[in-house]
Amino acid sequence: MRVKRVKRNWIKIAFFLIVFVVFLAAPYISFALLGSNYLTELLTQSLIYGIAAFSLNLLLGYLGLPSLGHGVYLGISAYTTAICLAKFHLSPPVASIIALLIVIGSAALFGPVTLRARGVYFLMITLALAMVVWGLAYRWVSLTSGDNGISGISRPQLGPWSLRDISNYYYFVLGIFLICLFIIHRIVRSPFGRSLVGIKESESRMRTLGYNVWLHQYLCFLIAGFFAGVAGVLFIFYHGFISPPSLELTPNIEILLMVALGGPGTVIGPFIGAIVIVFLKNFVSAYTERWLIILGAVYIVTVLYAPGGLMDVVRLVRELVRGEKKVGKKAPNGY
Amino acid sequence: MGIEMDIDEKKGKNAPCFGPGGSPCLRLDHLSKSFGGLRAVKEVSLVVSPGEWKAIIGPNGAGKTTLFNLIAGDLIPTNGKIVFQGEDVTRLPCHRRAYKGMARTFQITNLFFNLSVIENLVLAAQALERTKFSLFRPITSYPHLYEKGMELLRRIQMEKQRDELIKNLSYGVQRQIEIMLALTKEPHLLLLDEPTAGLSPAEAAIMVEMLKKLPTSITILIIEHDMSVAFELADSITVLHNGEVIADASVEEIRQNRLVQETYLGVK
Amino acid sequence: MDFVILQTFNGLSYGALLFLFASGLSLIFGVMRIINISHGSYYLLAGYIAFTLMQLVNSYLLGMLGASVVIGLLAVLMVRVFLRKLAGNDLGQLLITMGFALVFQDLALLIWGGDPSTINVPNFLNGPLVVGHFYFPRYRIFMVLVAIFIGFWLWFFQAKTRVGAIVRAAVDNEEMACAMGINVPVVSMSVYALGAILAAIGGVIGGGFLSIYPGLDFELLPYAFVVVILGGRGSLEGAMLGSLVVGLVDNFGKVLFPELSYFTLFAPMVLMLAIRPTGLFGKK
Repeated sequence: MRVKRVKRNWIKIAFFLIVFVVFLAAPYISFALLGSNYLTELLTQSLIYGIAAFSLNLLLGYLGLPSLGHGVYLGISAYTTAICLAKFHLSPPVASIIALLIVIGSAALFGPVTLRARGVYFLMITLALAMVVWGLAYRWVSLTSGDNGISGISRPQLGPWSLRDISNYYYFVLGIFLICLFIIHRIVRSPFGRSLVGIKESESRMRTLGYNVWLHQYLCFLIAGFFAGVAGVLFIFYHGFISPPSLELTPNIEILLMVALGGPGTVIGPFIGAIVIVFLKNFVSAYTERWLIILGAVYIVTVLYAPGGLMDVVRLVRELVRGEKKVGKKAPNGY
Repeated sequence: MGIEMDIDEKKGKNAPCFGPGGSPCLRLDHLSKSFGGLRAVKEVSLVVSPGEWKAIIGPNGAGKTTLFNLIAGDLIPTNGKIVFQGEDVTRLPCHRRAYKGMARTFQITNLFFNLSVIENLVLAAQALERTKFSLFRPITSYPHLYEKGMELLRRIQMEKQRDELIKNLSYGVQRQIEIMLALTKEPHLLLLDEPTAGLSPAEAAIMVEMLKKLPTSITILIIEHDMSVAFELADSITVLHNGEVIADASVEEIRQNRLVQETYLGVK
Repeated sequence: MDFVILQTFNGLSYGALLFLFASGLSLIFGVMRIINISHGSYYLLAGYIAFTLMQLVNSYLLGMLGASVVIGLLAVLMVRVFLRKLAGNDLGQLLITMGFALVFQDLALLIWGGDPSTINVPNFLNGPLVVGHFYFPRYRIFMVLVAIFIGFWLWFFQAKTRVGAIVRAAVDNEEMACAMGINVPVVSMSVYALGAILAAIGGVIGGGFLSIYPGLDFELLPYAFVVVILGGRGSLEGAMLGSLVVGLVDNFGKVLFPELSYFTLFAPMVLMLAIRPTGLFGKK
């Protein structure tokens, strides 16, 4: 029906337009509606965690490897940047680049160890490794200031803009986010990205066809680590402070939930998950300290009733609205 | 015993499978595999000539699939050698054997069930190319992969089902696609693991007809449980029993072999 | 030499406690193929419950019994109401146990507050056992004895009883066991409850030794993971050996190389993964 299709397109266009405007004008909307930077702050956090969620999604959603220690790369990146700035007094760009190199190096190191495991074993290994790094952050006091963490990281000047102004930093993060989103979108649709999906479906089949499965997994690991590293750099400049609790189990669980809630294996799903979790966490924390119970409950409900995440719910709703449902067709040639 | 394909198919680069100096396509040399105390494959030696279609038959537990797994590279033998096209591939990783020209199908259908038919074939098509490492161009911008996939689908009249998810297709069709996947890279040696497994007699007949149309330039090793299929398709037959070769000869000779008749066919 | 003996003893006793905790995890992993992230929560809650019970009724035994019963019931509830719904979906079940771990952790914080609680141990278990010029804390000896006792009982149950054989069958080959008439869901649930109770016992015992505090549940998990990786899925002997190794290595590591902390866990784990990914006694 032409009329229905045009109407649906209008709804879609309107929706994306609103989203676009909101993100583009966030600082102004924040002041107009709330008289403060609150919305800007939340969106900045969402974007940063969104990038981290994207990176975990590559491992979990596309390759099918559940990592419970992915936050470790964010932590390593944040810590390295902080150490370079606070202890070695390097410039922010140099510190950031070193952080990214160190993160890729860590992923390169951890990869061969963790990739010997699959499924639940992979989950255990990634967590154990994350705890090792946590332990280092905690005990290697000479480097990381241990329990005190490293603070006093301030945002630099970027050309004529001072990134100390949260509105400016927001746009900076938004820019980086869009670049990451674009790159990940390309990777996922590329032959390499499709090979990851094939590996998730059947490793043995891929191997027989001629794929060096381990190599593909390793590369994916490195790429995922890199993006988590990017998130880590943005993270430390946003908060200005990093300490061992950021490397504990709970933040890892939060990132995993962002991917699971948003929609593993979709491009934009993890970002939606990130937005939901960040906003929920901030709202909930304003009224009660019981954030973890709510997070746990969200987890339980998601797993039970929306295993494909919110993106799956959106898809189901769209199919219901269209009044159609995909039914598998049988082949006609005699079987 | 294959019927020649039409001219279009012959234009493919199906080079015969042989080694330097005319050595055979595949040679197994006292190949053995033990799992702890269990000797699944015992000193199996056999030779497959280029273009030959050889069936491996034997009762359940005879070691047929283990043998395949050794040849394909999913298992490392305990003893012995595997020489493919004159090259010792005994310890060569599974994926590298694909590069040498080996392809296999699985007894239990091993496809990408949540992907569409064409996506399965495209993954197979890019398997041996550098394309598979391409990060930035969408896979749809490589039309030659899709053309290859469609060409294979045309052979089994399934072009219209290209976007169907594998899991929504019937078992018989899945078995056919399983074979098409293995043919994507024009292999020298094709290992078929019980292609008619689980098919009804009617479906099996259609499968056999399809197999008969495979080019004779492909060397084929086929595990079959169904004796009539083995006799119909193969040039020669190897009989396996308790991990050992008890007979290895042409179809006619096997038909008349008393030992085979007793152990496998149960004739007194 | 004194140092070695003392540290070995410490490592042994820590390994004993770890065994109580990790054996349950390994058993659950063996029969349900999931890593029960709530396992730490059972340890934690049991410790707190025992602590509270003992404030009312000053009996160590009753505290342990009460905690075990409550945790056992909680475990059964989790399986029947939640885990069963996701039968076959290993990752989903794991994520649910993770969700519950968060809920339990926060509930514990809500009910018992943030200060550490130490369980009062019966007097005869306090103080040292003097052997020569060594002072071995009696409580640590008690821990080792309990671990040995429970370890023996578990082994006997598994290897010598019919029910144990049923459990082993379910771990080994679920489909076959089901085909043979074994009610696998009931077996799974029972093993899950047993594992939880083991963790609970560990929690009560550990509570007198390490004290119970928020975050302990998540702190123990990595250690248990290493034990399971070293020892192998579902293997009792593996859990015993793994706990021993981890207890000793961690203890010596903390004393000799305090700055490296968890790193000392890392090495045996990496080694095991490189040589034998299924662990010492693991099943595929």
